[in-house]
Amino acid sequence: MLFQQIINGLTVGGVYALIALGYTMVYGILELINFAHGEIYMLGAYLGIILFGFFTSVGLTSHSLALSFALTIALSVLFCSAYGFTVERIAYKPLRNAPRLSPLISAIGVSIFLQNYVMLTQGATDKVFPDLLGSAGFDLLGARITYLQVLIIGVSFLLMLALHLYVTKTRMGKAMRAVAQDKVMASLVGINVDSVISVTFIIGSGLAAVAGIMVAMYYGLVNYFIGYIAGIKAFTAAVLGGIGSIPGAMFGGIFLGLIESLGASYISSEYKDAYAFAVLIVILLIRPAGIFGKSTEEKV
Amino acid sequence: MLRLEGIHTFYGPIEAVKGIDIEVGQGEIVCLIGSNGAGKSTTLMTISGILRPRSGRVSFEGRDITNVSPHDIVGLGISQVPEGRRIFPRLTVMENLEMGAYSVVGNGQLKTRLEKVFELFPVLGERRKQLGGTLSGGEQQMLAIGRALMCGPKMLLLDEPSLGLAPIIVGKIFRVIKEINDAGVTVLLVEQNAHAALKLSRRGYVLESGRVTTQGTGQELLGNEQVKKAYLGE
Repeated sequence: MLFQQIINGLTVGGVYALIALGYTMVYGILELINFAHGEIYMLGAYLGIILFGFFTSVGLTSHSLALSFALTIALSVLFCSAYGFTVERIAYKPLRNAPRLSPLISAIGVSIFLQNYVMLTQGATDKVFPDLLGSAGFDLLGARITYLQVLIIGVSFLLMLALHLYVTKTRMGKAMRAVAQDKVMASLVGINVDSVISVTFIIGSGLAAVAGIMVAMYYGLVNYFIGYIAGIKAFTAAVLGGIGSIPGAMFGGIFLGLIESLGASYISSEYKDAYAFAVLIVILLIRPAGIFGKSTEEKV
Repeated sequence: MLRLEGIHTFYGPIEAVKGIDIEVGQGEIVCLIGSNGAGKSTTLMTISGILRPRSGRVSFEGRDITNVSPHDIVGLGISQVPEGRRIFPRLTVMENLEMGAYSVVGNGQLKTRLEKVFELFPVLGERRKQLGGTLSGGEQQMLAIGRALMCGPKMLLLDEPSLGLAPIIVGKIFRVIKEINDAGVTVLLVEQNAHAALKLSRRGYVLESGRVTTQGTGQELLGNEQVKKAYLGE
């Protein structure tokens, strides 16, 4: 029972973590809560359904399931990254030197726009993601683990590892951290801050797209409103871990998934969505900057 | 080499620089002295492209760089050590230096530059794995200078390198500035420590509320009665 809930929690938590990374990376660099980020995740889920449907209709799915699945993910990531890039260019970049409230309002605007855009073009009813793997799986330590869960947990953790290596080892990744710490200084050493910001949005949106497809597969249903609640939860996860901190978002997402899953089975599933926020309140009372949050100190 | 003509720069609604003409020749050390709020840092930030002048022209090696973006100005060979050092606190010493070489492509160059910086400041070599924010003030200043040298600049802008440092470290920093200049890097130095700065510099400008009020060689300014009274405490 416990092990089962841990597996369920890790599955949902991995997805939360992937979305939370987008929030935290953008916040780390722009101090902007990108309210449109949940919508990018929703777009990812829709694109998953649309692309997969397309590959099925042209017969690729029956030819090779793995290939059509890989293509669905790759193209969805590409589209969502383009969306993220464009949103930043249109809605945030012109407001770079405006008071902090302005880009926040702009973000809410983008979020409302994307929701309605999807509702108008895709309809207000639920869309169904084809059940590919069914409930196929295996039993381990008394728990039933589906292959889909293994896939989701595996992909989430691999992507998190890849992101970690990217920001710690590559030149662009280090530049992202430098920009997050001091934008003026970053340009004084020759970093093109605007392109680093673009890359941040591209990566964050790509991760959200993968999360969107995986959730669509897991729950089987998608509607234009899923970005809202997932966005709020992932944002909570980011704040829980310490907004701006990449390990914090990873930890926060997984922690939140576990809390939800354990709370739903041991306390009551009625309040499943409330546990996340209850935990957030408790943690912020004890550690206002979040678990991995840093209070910056200056040295003279 | 570097020429500022009629530069007016606003810092928010305030006109911090009100029509400055400055020239720095190849291989020179030139200093800007003046009290707080005289417009020294604003001048350096205008040269680096962080602040845009409302009017006037900045040119470097004959090329107009007034509207060139900050990262491209670094690429042209102007590197700045800003006021307060601005070390990336959560990057290691090594990563800070790597960021300094961001505009330089090629690992070979990176290696030789690193060796040079570690030769200049051996303590940075010992602490290469430490986070920038954990260094002492003096070490941070060395790291800031080292980082600025990593791009192989033709010209170094230094903003108050002696601020808040113990006298013995200040001496060391000034010796290093001389060494850097001897190696062929032109230096524009902003200092409140006017005495040390003027002694080191070939020429100097005195800034007062956004204008150049006096200029001359370092020796002339050291002997100037007004400068003595206002900035040298004599």
